[in-house]
Amino acid sequence: MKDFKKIKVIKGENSFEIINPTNYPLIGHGAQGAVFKLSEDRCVKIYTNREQAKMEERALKAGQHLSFMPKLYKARSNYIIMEYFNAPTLKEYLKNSMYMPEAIAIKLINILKELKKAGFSMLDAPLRHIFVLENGDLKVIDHVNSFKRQHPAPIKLLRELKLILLKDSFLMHVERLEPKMYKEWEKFFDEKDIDFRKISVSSGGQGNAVNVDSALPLPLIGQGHQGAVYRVSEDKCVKIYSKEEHANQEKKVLLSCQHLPFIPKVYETSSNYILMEYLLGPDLNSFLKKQRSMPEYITRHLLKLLKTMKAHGFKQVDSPLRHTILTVDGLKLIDHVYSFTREQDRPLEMFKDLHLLNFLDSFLEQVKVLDEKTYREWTKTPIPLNELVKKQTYTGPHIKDELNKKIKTPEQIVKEILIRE
Amino acid sequence: MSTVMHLNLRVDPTQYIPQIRNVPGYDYIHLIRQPKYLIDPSLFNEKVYFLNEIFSPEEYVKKNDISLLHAHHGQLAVLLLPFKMKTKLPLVTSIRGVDATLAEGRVGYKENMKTLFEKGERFFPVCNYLADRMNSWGCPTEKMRVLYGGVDLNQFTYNPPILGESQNILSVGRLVEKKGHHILMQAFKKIKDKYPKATLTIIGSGVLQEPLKVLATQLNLGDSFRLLSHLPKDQVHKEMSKADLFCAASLEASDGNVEGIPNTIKEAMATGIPVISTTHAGIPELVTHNKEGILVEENNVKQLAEALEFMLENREKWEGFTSEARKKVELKFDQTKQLQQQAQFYDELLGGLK
Repeated sequence: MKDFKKIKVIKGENSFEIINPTNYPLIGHGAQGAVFKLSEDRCVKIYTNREQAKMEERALKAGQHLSFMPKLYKARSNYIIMEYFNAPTLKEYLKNSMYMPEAIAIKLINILKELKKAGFSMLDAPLRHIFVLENGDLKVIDHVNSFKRQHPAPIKLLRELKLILLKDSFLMHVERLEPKMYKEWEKFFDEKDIDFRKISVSSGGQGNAVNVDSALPLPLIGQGHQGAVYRVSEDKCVKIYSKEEHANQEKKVLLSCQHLPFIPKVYETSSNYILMEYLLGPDLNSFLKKQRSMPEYITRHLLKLLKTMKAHGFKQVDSPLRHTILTVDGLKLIDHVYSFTREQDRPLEMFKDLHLLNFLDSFLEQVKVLDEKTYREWTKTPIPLNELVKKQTYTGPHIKDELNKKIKTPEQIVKEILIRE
Repeated sequence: MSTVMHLNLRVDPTQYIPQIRNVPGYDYIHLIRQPKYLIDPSLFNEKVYFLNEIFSPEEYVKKNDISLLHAHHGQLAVLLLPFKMKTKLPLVTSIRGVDATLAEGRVGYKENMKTLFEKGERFFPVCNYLADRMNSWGCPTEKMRVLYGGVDLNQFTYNPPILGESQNILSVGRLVEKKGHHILMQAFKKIKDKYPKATLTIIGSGVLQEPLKVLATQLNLGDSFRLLSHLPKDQVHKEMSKADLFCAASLEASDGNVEGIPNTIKEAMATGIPVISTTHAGIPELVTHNKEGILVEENNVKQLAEALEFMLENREKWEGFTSEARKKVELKFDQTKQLQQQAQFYDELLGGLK
């Protein structure tokens, strides 16, 4: 079993490389490292950061008496062997559910209570770190930050439940079953008492997302390098910046371009925040994911938007799909911190996003027909897709290989379902 | 005018239904779960909104003067329950075929439906068959009002069958098991040699696209068979105008999924195409065997083949079937009347509150 030590996990600035010469399948990888299945009931987590290995070891040891904690078998400086669960995550388990099952709510409440009793400061877990065993028991993995982060209420859990539309029904169970806990959360999340005008955001280290203080109770809609965005009412949101410089740069763009159709309306500004219109509608990435082919009218609108940017002196001419919102008033673009300062004449982020959706070629073909001049400008030099797409290389077996073997071929479906006589 | 907040699955042509937009005397908000379910932006307007984006249910309801919630599937109604509790608005739930399905791997499905039967004020099953099923699960009869889905009779105008030579059989429906396309293809195989001019066209898209193509190859259906996917509506109409027989081989899928009353059969009946279908789910409420068409047992290749043969051999009987079929649709499945009926059901529920 020791040969798992031959596995190499290398984390670079903008890349992730895993070389696995063994037969142990990769289960998953993330910011902390990678996990491999060793046997039916054991897995090994290999860390890229030894400090994190130590932190997780400490938490696992402190929680071995808890029923939902994975068993710890062996901990070394850069790896931990622990219990493996061949079970769906709570996210998979609840897929297509329209109401939080009471039994799951009870178990989640219990986990949060037990974590608190055991002295953990992170009373929270995302859905993908919770497993549902066949007997209905829940298990929780990833405890690296258990004693580091302060989550007195389950911020991540509730945020993810909201994304799958189960937050409200979960909270209804909590209110009924644990009114005291519900009150505490309500107090913690109470939107009305918070004045966004007093919130400050501390910037993370280089290359990391901003560390938004966990105790921010407003509904967070997004966070990134520059700051965080919170919804404050039905039609308004506030972007709070960690650096005044960024706030000023974006203010300048937004205020001077309020007449342009794709610029969100601004209501109020200060040295570290901008209160603006909350945009309703799908972002283009989510929208295009559900389309079978690249809709020509979207290409036309994107082209128009980018040309308007250029005509109005924008230095950075780009429209990343996640930042382009399809509203009832047409396409709107958010995030303008670098619009006037960063020199970029081709929409490279947008190219990358379209490429990942397999729509770049058809988009460019449509552009060629609609506006040959722009097409030529964009394709004069090759689009550097290799540099744009984050490199993740993995060589070796994957846990999904086993699952893929179970997917039925059309021939099998014909044999097993369609011909019943 | 009262405003009804409707929740259905997507904003796309299939979900942009008159039961939301054209209920006489009622204004509407077309709610979908999340922005990602906005599929067709040409249908996006200020009446479209997103459940997960409602900041404060109480304020939203007040601002838009909403007096009633209407979920267009049982599952969507379950999702709306917390919203209903917060706003204390009455909730109407349409019950469709898929709501009778338990086996989609949805956790806690039946318990959820039971809660819904308790908390919801009204249920509109799309046929008596589904009403009986919901009743057996515990939905009180007094809360149910069967509301058949209607057909636009101005759009689907009647043309009596022509006694020509062609033998084009058409089926329209998603490529999923409950539509029984595979049974129809096997039945068609049985009659194909006897009727070399006969063709079979299936229009639809779905998960069984590849398996059905494989099946067609295995059955050696050759050029007499066509599977048309992602067809725009006007093309479907064109295919319908070329069809001599319409067939819907609906059946209960292995996961329990059933139909209500397929709209495509109603449309074929309104248009004047003779129909062959099965005794599955609510279909006998639409088609009386040997009067408005021919019905056979579901999942029965032999009977379906015999029915196809019967129709091809007895062309002189077609007009009898189609004129009866048109009458039936005009009587019970006329969209205008059904929308008035829906409005009356709303009136009844809202009483003096409207």
